[in-house]
Amino acid sequence: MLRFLLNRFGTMLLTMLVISMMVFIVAEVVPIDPARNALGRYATQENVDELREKMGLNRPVIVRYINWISGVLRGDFGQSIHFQRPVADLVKVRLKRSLALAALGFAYMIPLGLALGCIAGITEGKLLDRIISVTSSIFVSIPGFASGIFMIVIFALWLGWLPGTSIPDPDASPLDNLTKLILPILALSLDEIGYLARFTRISMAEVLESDYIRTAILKGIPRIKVIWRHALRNALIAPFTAIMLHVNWLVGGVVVIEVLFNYPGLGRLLLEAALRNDIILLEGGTLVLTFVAVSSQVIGDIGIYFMNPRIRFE
Amino acid sequence: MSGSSNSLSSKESIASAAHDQHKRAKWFERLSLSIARFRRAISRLVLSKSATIGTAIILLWVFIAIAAPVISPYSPTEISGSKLEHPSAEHWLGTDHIGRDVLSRLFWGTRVVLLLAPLSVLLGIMIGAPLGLISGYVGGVIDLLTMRAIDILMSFPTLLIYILIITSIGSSPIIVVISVAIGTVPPVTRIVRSLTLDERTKDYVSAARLRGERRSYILLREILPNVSGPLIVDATIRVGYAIMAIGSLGFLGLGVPPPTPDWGGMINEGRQWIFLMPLVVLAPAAALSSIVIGLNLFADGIREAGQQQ
Repeated sequence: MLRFLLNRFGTMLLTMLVISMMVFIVAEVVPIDPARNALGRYATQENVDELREKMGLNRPVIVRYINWISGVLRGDFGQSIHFQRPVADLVKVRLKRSLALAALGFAYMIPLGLALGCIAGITEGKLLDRIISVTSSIFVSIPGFASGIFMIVIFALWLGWLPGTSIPDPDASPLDNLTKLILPILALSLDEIGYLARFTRISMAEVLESDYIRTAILKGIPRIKVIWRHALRNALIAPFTAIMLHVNWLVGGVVVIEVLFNYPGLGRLLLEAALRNDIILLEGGTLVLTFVAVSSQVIGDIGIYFMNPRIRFE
Repeated sequence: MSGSSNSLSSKESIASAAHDQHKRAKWFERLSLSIARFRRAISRLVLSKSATIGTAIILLWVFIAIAAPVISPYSPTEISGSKLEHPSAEHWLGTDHIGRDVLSRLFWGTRVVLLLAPLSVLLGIMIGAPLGLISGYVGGVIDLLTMRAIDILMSFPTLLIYILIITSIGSSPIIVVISVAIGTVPPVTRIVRSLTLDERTKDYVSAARLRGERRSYILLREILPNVSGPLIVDATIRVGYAIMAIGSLGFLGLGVPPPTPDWGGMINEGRQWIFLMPLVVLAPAAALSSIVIGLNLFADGIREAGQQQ
């Protein structure tokens, strides 16, 4: 177990290191001058040069990268060139909002997706299965921004039930700010629900065809009980991995949804940082997102380790 | 002396002719076999309802893409009415914020999607399939290094890779194709590798090895044809993903640069006026979704047909 964990954490660190290097190298190629971008078109060349000097942009990439990474190891993520504020502060605020969005989405889409998939798997080939399968096929085919647009047009424009943008208002009540999140969460989770339901359905159908389930049914145990006691646990292993592997897909979805609903989360911050070539901010944000994605994979591996004894005893 | 050499060469020529004939017969046999297999596959597909619907949707869009210059009422890039006009007999889907005909832009945009998405998947397979074949067949250090690199690429959110590449190089159709292809390489490599690992242990591969075939021959002529079936199903789904990715890039303002009619770009430009003229964004969003639905239904159908076999 210890060796397994060490191996996983080693890979995780390596991944983050490689990606942080990649971002620095890519940002070096970008023709946008971050200092010019921060000061605007009308700043004098001297001011721009001064800022470049102050931010250390004139030093070679390797020196800047080493400076940055040694800062990170000490817990200092550096200063954003555009915002002139510590990256850690900016990322912390934005990350909280994005996590709220993702957590609320997860909280309802996982049970829903799993339940739909299980029902479809149990009733394989029947009408209910057909309906769920076709619906989930359609759900996975609609990209996040498109489902977001359908939601805005239906619920905000035609019905007028919910707001079409999600800019949080500090003066509004928490409930108001929460209702603003309903549409982005729905848009974000639609394809995840479809994906999860499809995955669970296949897994459940496979488990139900296995010998030990047939034995249990032939022994005369009621079908409901067999499914609840024996099939469910095994059928949920595969979807669990699928969820964890899908977290980085979800991260991309979060970027798109945040842009569509004008929600100031980490995804939008990263997109803006990339467009302005604000390297330090981009690095900080990417590092956090990569950490989220990679650690979810490690959690997934550990989860399987405990859920599936076959792996544990190998 | 001369006679014997003559007879030798004639013997040789007879032998080579026989060899050619044999080769041709073999080729013909293989062709008729693959035709039969193709017809069986088609008849199975027709039986599958979802595959039929999927094919119909895809064919409709392919037709629109080909016929775009004929069926579009206006130019996709020129102003043909006033700004944000509501649907009318002249403009079936209204006009956008500059006064361009939405329907014409939608039709022409089909070409962009249907050209770039398959191209990027093809490029991704051309890079990923050899990587997977070699990694799975050779194993050892090469396999370990390739898989580590693939793991790293896969643990990184794909959309961020696209954003990083495109913001650094600037956007053009080629760059969009290349960056989406880069996102396609890791999963394709993985799938081909695991399929190759399965095939490697089979008898026909050992037979080829004992015959003394070269490694490249074994990989390309023996293993590749056997892994291509699942790879094609996967590629269909990947084209759907690529369409979504290209749409997302356009939506973020990083896709094919304007004024080229691109569905994602249309959504990006029309977004601000969604409450005034929802059709400008609704039409490309629905079009994009319907193409991906068609592709996924088609892939589902193929898979079902494969299972029934």
